[in-house]
Amino acid sequence: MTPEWIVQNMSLEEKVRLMSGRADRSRIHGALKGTLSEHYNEKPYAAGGNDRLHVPEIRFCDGPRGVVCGRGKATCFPVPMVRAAGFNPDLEEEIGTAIAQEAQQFGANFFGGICINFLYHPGWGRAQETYGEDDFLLGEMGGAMVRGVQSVGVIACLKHFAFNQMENQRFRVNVRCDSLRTEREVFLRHFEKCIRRDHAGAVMSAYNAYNGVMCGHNRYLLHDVLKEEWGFQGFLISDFTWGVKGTVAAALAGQTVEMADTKYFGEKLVEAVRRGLVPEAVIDDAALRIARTMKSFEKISMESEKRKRLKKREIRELALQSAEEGIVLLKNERNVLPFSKRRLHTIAVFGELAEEGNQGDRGSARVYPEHVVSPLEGLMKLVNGTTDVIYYRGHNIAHAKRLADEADCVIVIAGLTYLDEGEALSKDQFTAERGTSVGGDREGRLRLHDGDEKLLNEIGKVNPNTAVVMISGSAVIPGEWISQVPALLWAGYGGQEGGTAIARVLFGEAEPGGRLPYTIPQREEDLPALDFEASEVTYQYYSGYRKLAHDGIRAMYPFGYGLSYTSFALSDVSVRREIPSDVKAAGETEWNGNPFFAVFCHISNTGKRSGSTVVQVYVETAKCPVPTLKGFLKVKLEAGAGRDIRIPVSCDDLKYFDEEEHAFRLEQGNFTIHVGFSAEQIEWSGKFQELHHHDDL
Amino acid sequence: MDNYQEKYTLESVDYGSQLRGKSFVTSIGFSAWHWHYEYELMLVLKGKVTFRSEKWTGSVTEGNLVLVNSKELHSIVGGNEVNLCGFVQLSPDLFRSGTEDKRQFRFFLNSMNQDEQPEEGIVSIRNHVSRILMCTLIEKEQTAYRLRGEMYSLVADLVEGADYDILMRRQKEETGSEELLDMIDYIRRHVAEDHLSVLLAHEFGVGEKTLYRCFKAGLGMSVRDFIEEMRVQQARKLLRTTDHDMPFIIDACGFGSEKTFYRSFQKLTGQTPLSYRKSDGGNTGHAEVRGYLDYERYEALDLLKGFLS
Repeated sequence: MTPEWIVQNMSLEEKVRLMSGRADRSRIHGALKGTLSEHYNEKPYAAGGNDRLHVPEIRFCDGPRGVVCGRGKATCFPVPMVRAAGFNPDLEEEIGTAIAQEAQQFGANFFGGICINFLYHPGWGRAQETYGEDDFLLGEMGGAMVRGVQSVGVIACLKHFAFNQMENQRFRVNVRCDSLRTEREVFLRHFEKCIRRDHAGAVMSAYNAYNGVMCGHNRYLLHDVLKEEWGFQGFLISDFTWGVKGTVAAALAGQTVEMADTKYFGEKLVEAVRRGLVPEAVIDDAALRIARTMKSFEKISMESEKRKRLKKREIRELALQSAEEGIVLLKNERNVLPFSKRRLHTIAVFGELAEEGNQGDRGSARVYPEHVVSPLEGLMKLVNGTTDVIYYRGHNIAHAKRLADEADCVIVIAGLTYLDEGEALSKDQFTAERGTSVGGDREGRLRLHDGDEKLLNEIGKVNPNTAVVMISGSAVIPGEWISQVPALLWAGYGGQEGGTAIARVLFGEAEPGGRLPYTIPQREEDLPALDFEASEVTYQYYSGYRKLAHDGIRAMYPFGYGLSYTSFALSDVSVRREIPSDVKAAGETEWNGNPFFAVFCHISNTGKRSGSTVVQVYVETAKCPVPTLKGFLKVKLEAGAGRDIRIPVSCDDLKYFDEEEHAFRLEQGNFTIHVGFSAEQIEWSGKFQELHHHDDL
Repeated sequence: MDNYQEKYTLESVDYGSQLRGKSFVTSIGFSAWHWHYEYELMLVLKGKVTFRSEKWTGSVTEGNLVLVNSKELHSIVGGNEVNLCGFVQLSPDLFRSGTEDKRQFRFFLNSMNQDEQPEEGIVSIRNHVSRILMCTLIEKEQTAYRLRGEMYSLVADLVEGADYDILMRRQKEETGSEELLDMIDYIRRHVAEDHLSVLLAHEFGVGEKTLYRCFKAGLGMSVRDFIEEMRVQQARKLLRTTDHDMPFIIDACGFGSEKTFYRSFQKLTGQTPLSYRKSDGGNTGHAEVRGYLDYERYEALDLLKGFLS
């Protein structure tokens, strides 16, 4: 039974049924509002399916920091922003496999938690759900997740397609791009990569509108770009409930499944076909995509059952490893860190967030794990038996100062919670809890809360061994206190093992493996202007570190930045062509993952501890005149050890979008290549001449 | 409230029932340095007392409330005018989630100290303490249940409303302040000995300077002054409760000479030993209010009603 045969032998009703979500709308909303005893997505949401012809139904589970289903069973990983800071696609792929295995244990076969929306502005409420402000990093991390999830036969669903990087206005805002280059190079290239290179099986359309048409009905995006240009073979689903608002418009645009319940598809779609408003060929295409995808993943799933599965313990270790690899050491004067527990008798821990198992947003991404280790629990467990720990929320500055003065070292856990940033879901639920408006975007408030700022202004002066651990989904700009405080880390929302990871990094039992996946600017004004309440916005070509480079502004902490407990040196850098020049033929439809050239170098650990670093390759061309990330490699080295490494840079990542030809093209001429440890710490720069067939520079 | 005054170091609180807390109203004469595992809230109903602790010393006037933390050394001394104080003592167990929970809450709650006022104000906690004290004074069958409920909800009020830090001690190893408590215990048991500070230093294997620093840091007084206070305290007890003659008392309390004894006693109590004994410890109003002093019970109830209105 080929998928084609199956579709040919289905009635119109059966085909349309494949396209229709079957969840109960009032139950989803009740779960999200907290008025039901079950939580959102506690069980997978079903859609489609056909028993007669053996097409499995879609059983949707949400993410992205783990599987949303169940209670006390799923593993809560760090949020994607923390995993992005790890710059480790291999680890991400393993996490993907772990998540898919857990999804299967809940009966799910579809993972709707791969968010690869470009972080245009760090104030986006759901910044934590994505992999940062660079399209290359997004494509590498998102692609790794797709491969991991799909390796065991769970369909990986990319979201939110596309231009969804604002939360408060997500149902209303109409997004435009200032140019086609912005659209393709900045906002869509990583989607294209995850589809053409990694073959993601599904894509979820966004709520917002693009160029005046809501994404769920946007034929340009869903049909022209995704299916025609990129050759996408899988199927689409709408974002839940409000992602489709019309039967004919959605169907003609190429929407394939109305999720999570059916309002406009189902009987209305059958009727529209009968009345000739929607050609049956459109339904056939959708049904074929669904049947083909469901059948092929069913097969992979059955085959993978024979393979070895990850054990619960191994999955927990992955969660811990990724939390540690995602911690970014931003400042470490006098090598205050790591602390030594043998030398410390009393540790003072400040900040309400210390006792909170802070997993981040509590919207549809909320995972319900068996346990969450708070920073305080992590610290207590680590120093148990050797050190006294005093915990104080820090309300009264005078007490805090006295405690700080008496302690040997001070650890401040400061930052944000789901009340500050996250999915703007049902404000009623949260307002009842706290009496203030909550969640959503952080426009004009990329700072810590006043209470935290006040505390930090005072504490740093009192105790010279003070470390601040920042919890947030993306950039928080440190206030004046940063000059008082010798050590600062960003730990993000580290998942269920986050507190253990923080403690282990602070005390040197693990190294801070993270590098910033976003820019921390000096001022919010250095970022692109974005009105999060606007009903219409236009995204510009430059944002994040590329905007700063373009404007000649330095960041407070640049993209790619992060200190280590050891030191690294880069030497013997060279760039070599990897393939003949015939790849410059324009407009190929296949994703050409072939490297165009590769950077070779020697990296050595010159310090006294083992550790890791991320060697980053930035490329600048006539068409893209600011250094832009095109390759990276995470390298782990023992103290004193060294290694030769190769970082390939692929043609497809280097191309610019030629607006006249309406195709990606590889430039002729000079490529300026920068190799370094952050967007602003370049250790080596050189030119690569495309026309001259040099093997070396 | 005799046991309050006599067990001047480690005071063991007898709950008398399964309730992990205790409350009473008393007037305070002189309660020397002591500590207990229980948290203690003291509400001054009338007059004023001088409160001393490791971190704060000052007088506490009518209507004011001070929380003494678990294992916090403190002393309370009444002035010349009559005072009436209510106490609520809460077992540390009430603050723990289980036997494995080693957290120790340390509250900052003192209405006399600007730095230790709860954010929401002191009134609701004071009202709560007042209600508990009223339950204590009204000896009816039913109030026992109300008392139990109020005690538990006071714990919640404190955790929600008052400011505190949490101490989690490393296991086994003794810390500085626990050592201080042991030293004080040693002084109590050896109060009759000469050269007590030398013995103490020897016993704990520390130098005189360390000893001085330890007491100064923990109690704000020198070890010498502290020993003197302990000796006078012991003398007061013997004067009040026994018929021993002066030479016996001088010897039993470790005063080297009669001269030292009289000087110290006068200095710390404002009385001579003999006048103290004659006035029965100056102590007519110092007993716990337990019904037999009905006029004080009614007075206390009136005062509490006043706070609550």
